[in-house]
Amino acid sequence: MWTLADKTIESRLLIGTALYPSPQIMLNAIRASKAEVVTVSLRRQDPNVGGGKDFWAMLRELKVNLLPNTAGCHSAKEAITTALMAREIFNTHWVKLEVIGDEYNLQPDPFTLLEATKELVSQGFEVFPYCTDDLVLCERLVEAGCRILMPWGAPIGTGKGLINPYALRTLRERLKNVTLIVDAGIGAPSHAAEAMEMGYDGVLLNTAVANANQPIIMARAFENAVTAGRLGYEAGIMQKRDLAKPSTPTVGQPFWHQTF
Amino acid sequence: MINVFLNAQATSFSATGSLLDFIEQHAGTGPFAVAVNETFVQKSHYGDLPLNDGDRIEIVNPMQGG
Repeated sequence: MWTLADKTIESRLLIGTALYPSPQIMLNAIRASKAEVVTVSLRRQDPNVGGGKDFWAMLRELKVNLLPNTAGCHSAKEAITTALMAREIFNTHWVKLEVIGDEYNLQPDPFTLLEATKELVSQGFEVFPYCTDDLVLCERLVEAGCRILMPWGAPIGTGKGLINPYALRTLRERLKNVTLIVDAGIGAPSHAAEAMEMGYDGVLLNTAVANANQPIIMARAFENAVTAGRLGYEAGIMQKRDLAKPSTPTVGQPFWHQTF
Repeated sequence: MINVFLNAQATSFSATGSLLDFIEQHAGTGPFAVAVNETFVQKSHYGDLPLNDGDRIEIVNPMQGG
């Protein structure tokens, strides 16, 4: 068990609800992942899709913690308003705060992200900022009241994995008391395991599972990878070295120093 | 009558109506939240807010997200 904000949960895998081939596959994949936190969003009312009623019913069936996002927002004002609307609809003070600064790689805008964070923290939100891996930005977000940070592994939807392990490792070393979750860019289960082996507290992903040929099986793969990576971190991963060292004891080895 | 925008679509509405009246006419039956001119409006305040010509009303629903 571990503590995420004000909740105590088991799974360290957080998962998105978008892009699945069907609602039923989404439901089954989330169950297979054993995730207890799922991300959701808001969009303009569309009478053709029933006002989100079916999706809402599925969320209730899952009985998970909801983490609404502010995806698509480009200003602090938009993000704050979206967060307030999400709080009313989803009845949670958690928000995955996204403020996009660049359309090409969907890179978070650090300046407006910080501005929106300050306002939302002052209004009682638990802000989960989707941020870059910049140490100074992350420190400023913590100073603004964030207990959780979600640096990217790589740009959203790219599946490239951890493109800057040095920066991510630095965050882990420098922000020891902050809950760190790698969010975005995870493509393979090994990427998730790598983040967990670094000591990250969790991994958030969506596309890698939803767009897999077999989303339900991939969800299980990620669940196992996150668990394996965490156990490896807790057990203490050996230091790398340059020289080989035999694992089989040499004492008592037959023919040792035998000369012909 | 006044002209307002619902989710960026122009529509006409009674000049004396409140946001509550507007919502009763236009919101679906699923969960929703509302912003007017990019400012969130709590459900409990719908009846207090008169709408003005040119107001931009957003009604949003739950949606899948990553």
